[in-house]
Order: sequence, then C-alpha cells, then structure tokens
Amino acid sequence: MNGLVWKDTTLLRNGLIYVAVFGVVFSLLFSESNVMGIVCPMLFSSLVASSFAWDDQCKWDVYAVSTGIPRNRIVLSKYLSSIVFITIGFAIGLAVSVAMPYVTGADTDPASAAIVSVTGWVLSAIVVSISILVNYWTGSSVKAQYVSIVVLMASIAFLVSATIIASDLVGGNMLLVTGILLVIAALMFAGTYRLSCARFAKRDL
Amino acid sequence: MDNAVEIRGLCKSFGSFGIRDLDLDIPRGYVVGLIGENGAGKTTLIKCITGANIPDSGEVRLFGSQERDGSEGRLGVVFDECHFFQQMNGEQIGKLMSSLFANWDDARYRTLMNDFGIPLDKRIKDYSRGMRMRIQVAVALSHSPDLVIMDEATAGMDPAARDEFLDLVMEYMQDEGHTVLMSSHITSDLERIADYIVFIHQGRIVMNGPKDEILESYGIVKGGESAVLAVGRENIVSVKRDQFSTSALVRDRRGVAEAYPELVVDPASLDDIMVMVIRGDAE
Repeated sequence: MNGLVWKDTTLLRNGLIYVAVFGVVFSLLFSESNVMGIVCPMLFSSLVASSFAWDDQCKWDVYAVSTGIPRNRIVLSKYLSSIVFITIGFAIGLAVSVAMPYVTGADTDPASAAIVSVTGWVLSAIVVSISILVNYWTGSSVKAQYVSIVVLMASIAFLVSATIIASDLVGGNMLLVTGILLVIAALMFAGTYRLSCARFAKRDL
Repeated sequence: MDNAVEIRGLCKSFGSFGIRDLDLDIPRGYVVGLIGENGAGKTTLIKCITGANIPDSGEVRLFGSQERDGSEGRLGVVFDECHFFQQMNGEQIGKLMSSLFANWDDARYRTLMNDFGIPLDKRIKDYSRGMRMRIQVAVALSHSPDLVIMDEATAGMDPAARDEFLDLVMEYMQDEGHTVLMSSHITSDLERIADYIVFIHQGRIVMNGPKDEILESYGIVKGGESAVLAVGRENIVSVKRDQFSTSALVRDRRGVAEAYPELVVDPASLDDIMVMVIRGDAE
C-alpha cells in the first residue's frame, strides 16, 4: 500500500511543486488570503486525476493486478494518495492564509484562516472522492476525460455554493458547516470507494 | 501431479475473437511453452491466468485457489509491453517493488541489473526495447515468485541476450518448486528449455503434451498428393498443398515411416507443426 501511494507522490512531485507555486502566486495577485484555504486544497485535489493518467499511460494496472496486488488495494491507494495531495494543499493554503496578512499589512485572524483551511480540506476530500469514482466509472478514453472534467467542475461549483449558502443559514457558524461537511466527506469516501471497487473489479485490463 | 495452474472450461471473448472451452493444467516445477499464431489467444489466456482479464465463464485456479487475495508476489510477469513508469529509473522501480513484494531481494535485483548492463539511474523512457524486457526480467526474478509468466519476453532481444535470458530461466528452474509459462514465437527457445508445449489455434488448444513426445512423434510427409493422402485420414493432422508438392503433418511419424517406406517422413520441429496447422487444411 505504501508503495502505491509513494508511486503516486513520486510521479507527481513536479506537479505538486507547480501547483504549490501557482497557489502562492494566485494569492499574491488577489491578496485574498483566506480564500487560499479553499483554493489550495482544491488545486491539489486535481492531481489525483493526473495519477490516473500516469497509470493509464503505461497500463500499470495490468502489471499490478497480474502480480497479485488486490484490485481493492489499488483503489484504496488512490484514496490515500488523494488525502496526501489535499493535505499538502491544506498545509500550503493555511501557511499562505496566515502569512499573507503580514505581507500585505492587513488584519490577521489565524483562527478564521484555520477554520477556512479545514473547510477547504473537507470540500476537497468530497471532490476527490467524486473524481476517483468518475475515473473508475468512465475509464481513460478522451471522451471520458472530458466527462470527468465537466463532472468535477460542476461538483466544485455546487459544493462551494452550498457551503456559502449553508454558512448563511446557520448564521456564519463555519464550525457547524465544516462538521456537517466532514460527515458528508466520510460517507462519500466510503460510498464512492465501494462503487469504485465494484466497477474496477469487472474491468478487463 | 501438483499443478501451479488449473483451468477448466475457460471462455473469454472480445467480440468475434476469443478463447473457448479451454482446459489446461500447468504442472508445478516445469517449463510450459505456449505457442500459437498472432491473435490465437495466447495473451488473452495469460491475462485470464494473471487476473488482468475477467473470464466470461470457466475456472482458473492458481496454486489450488480461485482467490487472488494473498497471492501478491507469488506470480512474476514479463510482458512484451513494459508497464513500468517511463519517468522512473531502475533505482525507483526497485524501491517501488520492495514495498510491494514481501520477498523482494534488492541485492539480487541490483546484481541482475548490473549483469544486464542497465544503469540504475537511467530513466525507463531512455531504455531500448531490449532493456525494457530485461528490467522486467530482473524484477520478476527478484521477488522469488513461484510462477513466472512470460509473454513474448524474448521478442526484440538479440541472440546473445536471448541465450543469456534462457540461462537465467534455467537457473530459476533449479528450484523444483518454480514454474514457468512462456509464450514465444521463437520456437527454438522453447525447443531448448520447455518441458511441455501448448499450442493454441483460433482460441482453442489443439496440442498439449510433453515437448519431447511431440517432437518425437510428429512428422512431415512429403510427396505427390495421392501418395501423401494414402497414409490415411486417421494419421494426418493437416495437409498443405502448393504448386509442386503436398505435405502432411502426421501424428506418428515412425509408424507412418514403417507402414509406408516409400514415403519421405521428416521429423517436425515446432515451427513446422505451427505452420502446418495454421496454413494447412485439417483432415
């Protein structure tokens, strides 16, 4: 399992760096530090799709399954890799959110930045669970990749909008909203994992 | 006999192409050669054995069990296409494999890579075709698998590299518990090292037996059409007619030679058998 996660992070090392640099530059341009708590994990959540692309490029799954690595373990490794990616995004987003006000001279609120960053992590967890399921459901064809992008964009837009609306409904209590989202993320992980395993179990490689 | 692989009634189709009702045992401790024309179903059979393809019906037992869980590392594979990441180098591949296989022998891997002349810091995207095969072989032999499956592993190798590769296979087979299933178009390799031969033609097994028996019993009868056909349909596997003569593949060349001393009956190599079955007419 560790090897499969190590494989994804090693192959995407350059991608991790590029996304991190992009995130920092983005925050400098827009000077909206707290937003980075949401944007950074979301950016890093896109890397899981890249990990599928790497696997498909060399048909790695053929080798992995052929040597006896259980298909369920391969699916689980994608979820674990995605947690690694969004956690890195969370850490960078939180660091930028806390550090930016000192650069721009704005008021700082580390607690608010932390809550927003945690919310960003949880939203990203929901997005990657959808992304992983879509990848296993649609496959690796070009058409499937477009479907995957459309589904992801729609999911992100829906989730961010829903979070803002929910926050307004509960009088700005982000802790409550984040807690509800965390439960949803856990259920999404479990549900999409089972569906992904079921789909992958029937696929000819 | 203890079998590494047992297959019963295996069917797998991809549209109009597929394998049908295959029954096959791969005995433990032997080298089994798999031959057949392009598109015969060799790779499909191999992928059904490894679990990469899901059979439509039938049963595949690996080491006595249909369950694949718990078998990681017991199977080593070498494919004609390298499935390792192009951006990785040999060192990283070794590190990846060490985390996947409990029995990974890093010293053996490094020794093999050194013997194959592959630098560990070279990326796979810069490998030649032969090097891509060799790294697969190095990986396959470095995690002590009980069964090694090779699908056209020697394709693209020069004769010296093939000779070295076959020596490695024989060294691997020193352990009586090890088994090799090897598909190849280079039948001379199989004639050298295989104990059993399985011939797949149009999705079905048409021949399956000890190599020595096959080479000892099959023969090619050549001559005029009437003389060749006179040996009888019960003796003839297939007939190939060309402009000047007729050839027939017979099952019992010694028997035919005794019964028809006027006919020329030559021993048939695996190549001859393949050509006669694929291009000849079944009788």
